[in-house]
Amino acid sequence: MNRLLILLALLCVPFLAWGAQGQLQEPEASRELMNLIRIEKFEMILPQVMRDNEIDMWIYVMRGKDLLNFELGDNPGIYVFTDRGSGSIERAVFGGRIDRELYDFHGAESGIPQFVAERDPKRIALNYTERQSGYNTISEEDRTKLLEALGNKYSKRVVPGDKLTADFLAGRGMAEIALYGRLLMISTEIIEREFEKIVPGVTALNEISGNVFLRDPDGNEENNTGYVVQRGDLIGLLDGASMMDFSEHNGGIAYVLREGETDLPPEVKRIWEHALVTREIFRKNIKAGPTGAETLEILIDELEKAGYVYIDRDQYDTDADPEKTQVHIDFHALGRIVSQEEAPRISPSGWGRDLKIPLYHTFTFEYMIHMPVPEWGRGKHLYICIHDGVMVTERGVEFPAPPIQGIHIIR
Amino acid sequence: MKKVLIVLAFFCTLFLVRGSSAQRRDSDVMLNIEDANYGIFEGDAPYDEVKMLKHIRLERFYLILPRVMREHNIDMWIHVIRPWSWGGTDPLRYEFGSKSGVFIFTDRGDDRIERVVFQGRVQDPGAYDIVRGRSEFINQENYEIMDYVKENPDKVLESELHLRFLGLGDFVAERDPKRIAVNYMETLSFPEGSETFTMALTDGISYTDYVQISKALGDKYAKRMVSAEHVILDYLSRRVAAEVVLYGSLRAQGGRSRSFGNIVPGVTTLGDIRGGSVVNKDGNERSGDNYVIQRGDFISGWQGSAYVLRKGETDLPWYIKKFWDDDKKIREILRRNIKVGPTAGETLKLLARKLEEAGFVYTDYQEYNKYVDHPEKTQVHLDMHAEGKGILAPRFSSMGPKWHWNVKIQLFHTFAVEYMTYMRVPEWDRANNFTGQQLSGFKHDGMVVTGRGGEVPYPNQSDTIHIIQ
Repeated sequence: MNRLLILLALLCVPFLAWGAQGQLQEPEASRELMNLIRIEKFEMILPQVMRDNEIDMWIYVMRGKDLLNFELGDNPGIYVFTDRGSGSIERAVFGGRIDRELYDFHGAESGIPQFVAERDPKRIALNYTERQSGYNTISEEDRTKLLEALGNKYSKRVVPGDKLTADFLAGRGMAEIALYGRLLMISTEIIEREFEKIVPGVTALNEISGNVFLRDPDGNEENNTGYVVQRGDLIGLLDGASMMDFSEHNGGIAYVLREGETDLPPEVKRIWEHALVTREIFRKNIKAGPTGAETLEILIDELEKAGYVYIDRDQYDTDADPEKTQVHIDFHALGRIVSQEEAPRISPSGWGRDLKIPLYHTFTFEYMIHMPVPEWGRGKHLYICIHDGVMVTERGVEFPAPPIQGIHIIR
Repeated sequence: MKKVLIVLAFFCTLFLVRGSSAQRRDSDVMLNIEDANYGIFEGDAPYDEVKMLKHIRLERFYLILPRVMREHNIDMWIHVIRPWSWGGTDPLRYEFGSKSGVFIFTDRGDDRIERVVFQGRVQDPGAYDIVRGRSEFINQENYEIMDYVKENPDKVLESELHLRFLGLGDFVAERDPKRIAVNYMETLSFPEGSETFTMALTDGISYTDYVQISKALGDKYAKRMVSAEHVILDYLSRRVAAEVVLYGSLRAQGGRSRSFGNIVPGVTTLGDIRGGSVVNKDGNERSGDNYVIQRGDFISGWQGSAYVLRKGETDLPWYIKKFWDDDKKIREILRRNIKVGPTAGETLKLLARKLEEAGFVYTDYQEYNKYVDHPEKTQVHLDMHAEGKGILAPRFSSMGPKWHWNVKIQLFHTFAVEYMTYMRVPEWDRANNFTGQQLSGFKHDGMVVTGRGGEVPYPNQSDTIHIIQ
């Protein structure tokens, strides 16, 4: 009997791996794919963002762990990118070591002044900022030394590189888009798997992975607490998937049927309809080109034309028209982890509101709907949060992966 | 121990069931879907492919359908997938999610196109506004039609054939389209030209169907029928972003560099290094698992190449260096000169000119030509056909039917960067009685056309050359 069991177990091991693979597979960060993303970014994004920002040379001093380690490399050194008028940008590194697949030129740091003079750039971006930003990555000592080395003529031409850095990070090549879509699909599957775990009356929010939350009719929120899920709850869940320096997070919504219910109650169906109507408004009115702030104004206008109340914070406004559904928007960037915050953002707040939405910008349709339910009493309302990954193309907004399909029912 | 084994066996059985169902998922989408999509969906996707494929269908209806119909001035598009073929050859069976039916798309003037399945079944009814519409008459084994005939003896038709499109006339008249595209062929070449061998492309309905549709529409609307051939090809040749995701992510594991670290010249065989082929020091090709690798061999394969240094050599010979440099230049020319907008034929002319300007000889033939004016120049042949769908158009190539070249390059066009290079190596030629011996290469990678030009969505086959001492 023992032998039979051992044989059965051995035979099943390959299937175990096969089955696990069929379930969920975080993509592997192959060196080839990572290098491709880097090269495509240098080839397709860098020339465009340098020209958009009227920068002839970009000097980036890196001394260790840095926001741009993935894009430029892990090695300390001074990275110099020069627009020499051809299609691509010359890529050079001074000091440290270089990856020969990525860079055209390597020299000693002492060679920088001559290198710069030979290229005679009119505007030189350097990795510092004049405002509050994480892109202020050069040390004061390095900055002083570099300006001295450049001499009076070229140091006067140095400008802050924060916007250039933000634009560079916000640009997406197609290999990055493909990865983005993969991660979105994986995060959706993770969310569905977490919803499957919920047992009404037993499972607490903090037993579910991700950012899980629900609000009562007065807007009081339970967020990853010990609150035990009850029948009639409408639960939101944000969860993500990642690979190296890339991550996405998607959202899902679940409703726990009450005893005797076989389908979503009318008010839940109604709020879902609002989610679809507003999604269509967003999809039709976001284009590459305008800034996040300009786009927000357009969306507010369109929402109000369609009979919604726009709210600039994620909180039900008791002073607003009690008949109208309220919508809050925070369309932040998705993709490279470091560029989710300081990136183009269609939102009432955030650093990147004044950045232009670039072509193929990847971001989230994150919006919250607060729908009054008059039959519950004055001010009582229902709340959901949608969080789907999208991208801007020449045709408007596209979904690189399936968006939320509906409200998951927990029986 | 016994308990542990029982538990392990139980869990393994569970995974066995799950594993096998995970593998089956893509075939659940539709039988023969691989044929319809030129193999793109055969990959081992780490996510739910069924959902992704349904999503792509919806995105295409939303983003591409209105554009294609409006650009071709079509108010209504009727596409008949004949039931007896079970959709085996219809090019739109994935796009419409069905192997049998009458699909009617009507531009009713708002942002979107009305989508109706007049007869037939679809996998994804949610993708349509009306499924089965007003026609209950799918076939004569249907209880509804039996009931109808019993209840309406005065309305029984002369021929059962008339049931095929019953109700279509009223449906069309209500919408009053000016131009109705129907899937029959008018000017394009036969499906063999597509090279896919699996699809009828635009040659959809039979003569009988044509006659019956004409009768069902009545004289007024039958006169408004035009061939849908270009609508179909245009619809197939366009892509949405989600298709780029599928294209890129399913192939992202390609391009892995291979290790050649353990090769011992005179000892190691091609079989020991998992195959490949060799060009020896005299330019002669050798292959087969039993071939013993020699000094001066150039080993090539999909996942990288290697050169075994000859006695006294310290670096790659000139011809391999030049071949690799040429390859980089060719890729750059291709990438920089493919744009959204022009036709494939116009693009091919441009690429040929750019290659010639860069010092190459462009050749229409997939073989080395030793009689060209400048035999010392590297020759390049292109066959960059579409990938990801069942058609090869638009196709940057001298081969294929004319319509392959006449199709315009659209946003997110995904295609194979397939080209062949032939470089003369005089020493090899001398060693082989001047028979035209050359170093040749074949590349087949992927590219997608965006508003910025050609972009690489997944790693190319490795272009690293390992030097073996």
